[in-house]
This record gives sequence, structure tokens and C-alpha cells, in this order.
Amino acid sequence: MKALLIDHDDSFTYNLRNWLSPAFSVEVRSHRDLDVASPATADLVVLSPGPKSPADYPHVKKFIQQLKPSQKVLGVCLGMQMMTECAGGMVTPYSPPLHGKKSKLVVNSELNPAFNGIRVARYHSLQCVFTPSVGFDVLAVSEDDHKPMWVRHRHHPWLGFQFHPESFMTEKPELILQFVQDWCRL
Amino acid sequence: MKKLFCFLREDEFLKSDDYSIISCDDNTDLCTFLNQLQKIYFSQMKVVQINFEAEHRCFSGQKALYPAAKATVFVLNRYSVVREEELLAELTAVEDTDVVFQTLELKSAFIEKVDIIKKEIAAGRLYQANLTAPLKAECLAPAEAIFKKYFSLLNGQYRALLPLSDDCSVISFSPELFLQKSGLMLTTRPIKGSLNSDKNFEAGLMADSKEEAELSMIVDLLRNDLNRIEPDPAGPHSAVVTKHRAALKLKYIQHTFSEIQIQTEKSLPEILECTLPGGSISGCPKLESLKLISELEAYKRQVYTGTIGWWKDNEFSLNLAIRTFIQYQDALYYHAGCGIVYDSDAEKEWAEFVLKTGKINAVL
Repeated sequence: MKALLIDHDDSFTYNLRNWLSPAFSVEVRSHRDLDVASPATADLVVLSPGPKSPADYPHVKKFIQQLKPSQKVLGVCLGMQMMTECAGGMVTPYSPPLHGKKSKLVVNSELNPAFNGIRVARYHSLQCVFTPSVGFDVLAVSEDDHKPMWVRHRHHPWLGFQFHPESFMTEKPELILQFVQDWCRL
Repeated sequence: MKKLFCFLREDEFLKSDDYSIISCDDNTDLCTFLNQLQKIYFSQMKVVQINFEAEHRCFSGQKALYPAAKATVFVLNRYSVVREEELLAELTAVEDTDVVFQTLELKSAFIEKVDIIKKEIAAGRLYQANLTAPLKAECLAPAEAIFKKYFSLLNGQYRALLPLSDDCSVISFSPELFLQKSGLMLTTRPIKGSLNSDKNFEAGLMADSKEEAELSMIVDLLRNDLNRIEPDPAGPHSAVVTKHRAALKLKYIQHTFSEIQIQTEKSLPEILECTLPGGSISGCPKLESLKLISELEAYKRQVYTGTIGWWKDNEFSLNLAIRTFIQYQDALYYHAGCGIVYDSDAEKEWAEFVLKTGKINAVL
């Protein structure tokens, strides 16, 4: 399968590429070069983490909204925050920020119980606020502060991770990738 | 010619007084410059010095402390390998090496900058930024004497004395390995977390979640920079964390460091294109922290937090040029800095800044 990874000038993009690469052939594109990106041939579009906030990337939000309705999209951190705004949700400051820290996951009944209690890496000072109309199901939250960590949209084929699956601090990264791969094949 | 010394292996140093100096001018791209040198002098022993700002253009507005090319390479026509005792015996001591450093930045300005960084972190702009400031002393002693004076006191492994020109020398006592390539194995060992050497390592560093997060972030950043080198991430060509939060105990300070490795056939110019400047002295994400550094720091860092080391064939070992003096005419410069994260306490960061200058007689 092919993945198109949109890089938001992040310093973790190539970790994300290497995490994805056992399951996907990954093409990395800067958010500045979206006009030459070819999402039509990608099985998965991945939105990287990155600095600043969704408001700083209006062109990427426009790109997400113009994708074909069946296009599978995975947003990581900033990527998930951009999807949230595209779906009508809000992104607000989160204090104190968590950068380079770990939290345990608490998963709902839909996720494999093997994900319950795994430690995941967090790098965020913003949070997604979901109301029911935004349309995201929360599949896992953080144990310590109960924030949405793993979400899936009910109507769009969109998956979001607030945590960083590519970090060396995240446990069971292969299993998380397996989930993404299976979800992509649906 | 003035004597040049550069770390080679543990307790072994290169010594040379017969070399050619080649500098990279402002209009030449660093990678092009190094590629040309690689072609001409592939098997010759070279000593390399590269400035912090060499690969990035966002630093044009800052003041320079001294004239320096963005990179300088010493091609050694002849050299020998000496041990520490032999090296010290080579250096002439002079009596009058007492210097008094003054910081070029007030404590109040430093603290204000820590608070600006924390605000930018809260707003989502970045996760960590390395904030540094220079110190200056009047000094008439020769560079050799300064190297000798601090050699045992600042006992970092990656020490060097490089005569850049008639009136400018670099004297480095770095404890930090930026990049080393041996065979196909490329290694980096970032340092984060500092503590006075008389304090308890476990309680003061290992039990501190802020210190852990600060280093963990830089480990992810350096994994990224190493992963970026290899276009095909299959098999061993993916970065591995081989040590995390190990102890580095020096005479005057103790640190935690980590080690990340990757196998690659790439050469130094290609590797530096993906990794400069070093993650541990920039911040995370790197590009945004470099922009913030250029907005906050009044002076260019130049040699400081750049890199110094040797290069021969496809192997090299380069330090991160911290704990480094630059002598220019009758002035001696030194810099110190700290990684600022959201949990940073401005007063404690200033105390860390002071600790890092603790053995050089700074009046702050």
C-alpha cells in the first residue's frame, strides 16, 4: 500500500516514515508542495505532527477538505487537530503542555485489549474538544488526564492520534501500525 | 606553523604543525565545499570546524563576535598521535593566564528570554529551545597556555586546539559526541540534563521528570535526523536508541546522555546536510527553534555549538562544540546555554548557565 506523508516542518517526520514503512511505501511531501502531491494514488494520507497550530496551516485544511470522500486520512498530533477543525470541532490550549512525556492508554471495547495500559509519547500544548456533532468516536483516552488520544470519525474515513506512534517512548508500535493497516484495508 | 591538536580516540590526540587551511566562503554551500574536499583529499587526515549557522540562512541579522569562515578544514600534511601526557608536555605554560569573564547578557535579559520561550511553547510553536549567551574576557596569554590551563579541569573527551588564523584560535573541551562514523555505523550521543558534581545523580537527575522529557525529546529528534539520511528505511537502516539516560560524570558537572545509532554508507557531506546543527543545542522541532533562537540571541554563535573533529576516508568523529573558548586578538570568548522546556524555572536555568561557566572565573 502507498502512503502520502505531509510534513509540517516537523522534526519527527522521518521517524513517522520509518514507523509506517513496514506496511506502506511512503512518499514524504512538504506542506508547501501540496500542489504537486498526488493523494489520488495513495491508499493513506498521513498528516504529520508539527509546530504551531491548525490556524497556521489553512492551505492544508483546504487540501483535507478537497480530498475524495473515500480517502483514508491519518492525522498525528497537529494532523489530528487539523482534522478536528475541518470537522467543525475546536482546538484549544492545553495547560500545562506535555512535551516528551508518557501516558498510559485506556481503550474502549472496540480496540484490542492489548492496547490497554500501553505507554504512549505525548508532545502537545493544544487539545481537541469534541462535541457529538463533530462526529469523532474516542477509542482511547490517556489514563492520567482523560484526554482523547485515539479517535475515528463516524462518517469520514479519518483516524487521529493525539499521541506519537513513531516515538521511541511509545510501546507496541508494530501493533498500532497493524491496526492502521487493517483499518486502511476495510 | 602553530601547533594543532584534536581528539582522535579516548586518550589519544592528533598533533600537527604542518597543515593547509581551507575555508568555506559565504557564497559556497557547505555541502558543495565538503564534497570538493572529499574528492581531492579523501585519504588524507583532515580536521574540520563548522559553525552553528553554516547550513541555515535565518541568522543573518545577528552580530558576529569575531570574523570566522562558516567552515574551516585543516588538511594535515604530517601528523603524529600523542597521548595526554605527551600533549601536555608539548604545551608551553605561562604564568599570567588569569582571566575574568563578563557575560555579554544581563541576568534579567536571560530570564526574560526564558519566559518568552515558555510562552511560545504554551502557544504550540515548539517543544524546546536551547538558549545561550556569550561571555568575554581580556586575555593576552597565548591559546596554547589557555588549552593547558583548562585541559585537566574541563575534562571532556573531545578536546581540541585549532589555530584558525594568526589572531584567532579555538580551544574546545567538549564532552559531547555529535557524530562518529566507524565502518558503516553512525553514532550520536546527545547530552541533556546537568547537575553540580557534588549533588546526588539519582535524586538530582534520574528522578526528575523535566530532565527526562528534555532528553527524550532530543532522542526522538536525533532519531529523525539519522533516519532522514537513509532513503530506504528497510533493515538496519533505521535509527536505534542504544542507550538512554546514561551517566556522564565530569570533574565540574554531571549530565545524562543517550546514544542513537544507524547503519549507513553515506559520506560526511550528505550526513551533515541532514543533521546540522546538532539537535541538542537547537531545540525541537528544529526549524522553528532555529527561528526563535535567531529572534532571541543577539550574537551569532559561530564556532560555539558548531562541530569540531577529524575526518579521513569515510570515517570521522565530530564533537558538539560546547565548553569551547575562542580567542580573537586580545579577547577570549566562552558561551553557555540551557535547554528551555515548559517546566523550566527561569531562575534554575540561570543557575545552570552559571554552573556551566563555574570553572572559568566568570563574574556574573
